[in-house]
Amino acid sequence: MQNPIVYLIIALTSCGVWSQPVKALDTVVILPKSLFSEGGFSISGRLLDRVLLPDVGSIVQRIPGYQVKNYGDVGGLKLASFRSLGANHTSIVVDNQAASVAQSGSTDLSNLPTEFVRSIETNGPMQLRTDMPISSKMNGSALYIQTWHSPFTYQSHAAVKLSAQQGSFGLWSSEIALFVPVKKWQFAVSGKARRYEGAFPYRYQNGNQTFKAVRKNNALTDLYGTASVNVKLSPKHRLHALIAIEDAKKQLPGAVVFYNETANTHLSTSLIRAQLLHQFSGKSSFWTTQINAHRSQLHYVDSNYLNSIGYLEMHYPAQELNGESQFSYFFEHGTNLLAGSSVKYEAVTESTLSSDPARVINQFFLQIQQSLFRSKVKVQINQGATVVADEQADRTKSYYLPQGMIFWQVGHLQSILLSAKRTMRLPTFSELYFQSILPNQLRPEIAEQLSVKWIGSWKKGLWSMDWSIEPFLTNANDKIVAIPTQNTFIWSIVNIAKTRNTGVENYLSVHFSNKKKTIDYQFSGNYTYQSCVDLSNEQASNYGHQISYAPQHTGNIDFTMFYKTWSIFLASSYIGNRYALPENIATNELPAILQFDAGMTKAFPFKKQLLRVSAVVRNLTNVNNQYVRYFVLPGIHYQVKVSYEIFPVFNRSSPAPIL
Amino acid sequence: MRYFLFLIVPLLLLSCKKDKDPVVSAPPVLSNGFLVLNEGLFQHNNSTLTWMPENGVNAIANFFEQKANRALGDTGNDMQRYGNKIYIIVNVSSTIEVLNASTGASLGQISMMNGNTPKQPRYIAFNGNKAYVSCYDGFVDVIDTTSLSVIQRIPVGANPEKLVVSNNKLFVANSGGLNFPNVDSTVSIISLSSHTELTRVTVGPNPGKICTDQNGNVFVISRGDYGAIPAKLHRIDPVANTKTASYNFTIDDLIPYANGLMVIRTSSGIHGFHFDPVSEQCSNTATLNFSGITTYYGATYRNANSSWYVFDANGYTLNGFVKQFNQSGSLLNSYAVGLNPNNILFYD
Repeated sequence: MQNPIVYLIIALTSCGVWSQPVKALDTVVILPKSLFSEGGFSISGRLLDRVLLPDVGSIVQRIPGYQVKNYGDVGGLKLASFRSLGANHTSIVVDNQAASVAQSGSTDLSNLPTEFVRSIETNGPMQLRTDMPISSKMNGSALYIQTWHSPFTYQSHAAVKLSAQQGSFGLWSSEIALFVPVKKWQFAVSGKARRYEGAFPYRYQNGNQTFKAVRKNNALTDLYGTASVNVKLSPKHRLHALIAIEDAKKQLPGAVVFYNETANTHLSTSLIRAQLLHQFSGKSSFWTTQINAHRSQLHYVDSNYLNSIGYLEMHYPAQELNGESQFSYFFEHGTNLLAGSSVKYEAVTESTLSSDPARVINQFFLQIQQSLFRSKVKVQINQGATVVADEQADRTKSYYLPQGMIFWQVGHLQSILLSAKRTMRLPTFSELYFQSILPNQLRPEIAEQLSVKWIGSWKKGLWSMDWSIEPFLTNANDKIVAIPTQNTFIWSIVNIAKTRNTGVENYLSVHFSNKKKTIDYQFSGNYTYQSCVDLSNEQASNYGHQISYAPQHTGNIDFTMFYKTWSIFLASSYIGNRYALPENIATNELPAILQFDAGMTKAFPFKKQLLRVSAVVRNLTNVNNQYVRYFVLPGIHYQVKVSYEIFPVFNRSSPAPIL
Repeated sequence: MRYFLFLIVPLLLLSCKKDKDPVVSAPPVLSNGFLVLNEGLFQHNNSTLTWMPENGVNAIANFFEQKANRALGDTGNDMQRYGNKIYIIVNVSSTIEVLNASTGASLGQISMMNGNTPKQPRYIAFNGNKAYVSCYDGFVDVIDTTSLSVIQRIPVGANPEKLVVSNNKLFVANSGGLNFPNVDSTVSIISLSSHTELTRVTVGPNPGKICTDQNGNVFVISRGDYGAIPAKLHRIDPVANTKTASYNFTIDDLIPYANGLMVIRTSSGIHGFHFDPVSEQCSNTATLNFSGITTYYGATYRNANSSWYVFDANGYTLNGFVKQFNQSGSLLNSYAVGLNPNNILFYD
């Protein structure tokens, strides 16, 4: 660790001080009632039901600090990046299970359905939760997605949800979910099938000329199914089992460079993941143990590859098995403790390699928290260690990852969180074994993050307001990048880049609800400024330049209005100018994206059933957008959804009216 | 209400746009300067043509765009002047752009598609009224330089790269690079009378660069695997159609020049070593030391001013340079050009 400020913060937070007892925090509340919890940020699935966003990627870009790198909207790859650290620095955790693919180390957000989501949260650093994977706590950031299959669903009534969607460019989708509690058992099943023909018109600027064409070979077919069961063995013991499958085939039209329109390049993905989780909940202690298995098969075909057989076909079967256990104890004098360890085995079978790459990763995590001044101040220190045994390279390496936080509750409605942490992400198999070159000496990317977050809320009468402002400094060293070496076709993966990101994330939400709860307005917006500059080489012409695809300015402004059984939303998103290549020169510049969406939902509640009809129009101004150069996004398009629910999920513990 | 300002004020500020730099117009007739082909980066569609006046002032970075009113395309791989035309091979776009050599005006674009499959043209050579274009799909296309149409396809080895004409034959380096690690090792020899392949000569794995000396002898570099198998230089007799020699010295590039051939080595600095095709001896000490090159990307020798022009790709992702050196290796000029410069045409 190179930043002395980070050392200082950790040293300060290491002082042991004793105070009043605090309430245990381990219990997960599925329906977030507050936007901010222990420094984290939550979005309720109830809201998602009404605003009809196409996938999880569309939600994530509304969370302060996150950008979603979008390679083509529906069906296209969507990767979350926190403070421009890159997709592998963000853990995506679905129902307490890490969702990344061993081969690439990242999660495609376009593959996560929104229909079954109950909440999306960022990691609240002051929480002591034994159920969240250790790897996510030691990563740069984490997004926790809870669905109908969450291990900690405390819903006591059955629920059924059926829905069907139709949209522009041949989008058809249907979903079904069933939740049945029987005494101490809870069963849940969900499934989704989606088809997208994907051909959409676009405009293409080629020099001084504008061409109109149709984006072809962009079809998508995918299928998801999940089954889970929770059983309350005793008042203190709970067991959860889950199995999920995913089968997807998506065409990859690539960048819009003339001939690619006719190519038939595609990627098929088959995933199966299983989970067995046990939790003990004592008076002052929690203990969660889980075993996860994950198997994926990526099958890539490039029909235009000009080798001897006339096409390129690659198979990447990967498997992952991990087990972990975490224990927390809440002492009466205000000291809280969490300790855990995990072991993960992951391997990839790659046909062009002489033997299969595999590695074992051990992680250890210790979290000590002290409450002071009647719990108004919490001081926390986390100690993390990762030990990686690479079987192929026959070497073991370990990394120390300390974190320190101070949380100060200023009155009832405001708080300040000071956070310093060192995080890392390991090189992925794709990077380690790139172009069949056997284990190179790639090191993990190390990030040092320092931030101060002011969280506030205000209430007066029927109005309320929540906000957060968070200046941050993030240094990333040994960044792993692909660069051409022998010529522009022969690339290598190396640890050369170094970046510094300074910025501020702002969030504001204003809410109004009348006494009868028949009218509800919510305005929310976020704005992030970041200066993420390349400091890799002082002699290079891009020294101090904004790094590729890191917009300085991003923001969203959303307005939702609920009136009796109607809801209307207007959404806008702004992604500022970006650079496609490292030099900040005009030829590398990509214009800003400003997009407006609007939608409406009408609910028909009757007895204990709910019929809901939603319609949304996206890209209202029909702007020709590209987030990534030459990966065009569709112009104006629509989506219609009809859903039918028996015993709707979001009718309890819910602060707003049911629609 | 002041909290709204955190959101609204920055968004309003974003609507202010910077003024663009003034555009310098391309000259109507080309003289006293040179054209540089900048390859760009794969799938970025950012190949460009730079017009650089000899004095380096008022360079035109988007010369092709100004002349043709459209972008050049993706991966401009080769550029040659033949007669009063310039041919630019645009590999990933699978096109050949034809320009008027005097003015730079566009004369047309040749589509290099085989049905829906791109042929991916790589390099071009000429003989009589024909142009020969190596295509990555395993053919050499014959183009009529008057009608600018493809009149014949000649099958060769896998993924052909450079090609050269000697003794009324066409020598094509078959790389097989897309079958890595099972690459090709041959050079196809094609009769320019019958447009048929006469034979294939085995040289070494992954042939790429091919050129002739002043007497028409053919030299080819097999590039190996960029690792354990090193690059090697081989000689082919253009009369007997056989390989006559393989040389064991280190080589990364080979440039014909006034006194013979220059062997370029890039392992520790960029150095040139004189190779005498008659004695077949390569000097032990460096003839030239091209200092200040970040990423060597090729070189050419200009007889008119006895200068070397070295292409500096500057790390491949930053705009590059063309650096002019005299015969003793002293830097004379450094010209800032586009991304990955790889070819140059001089106008005296």
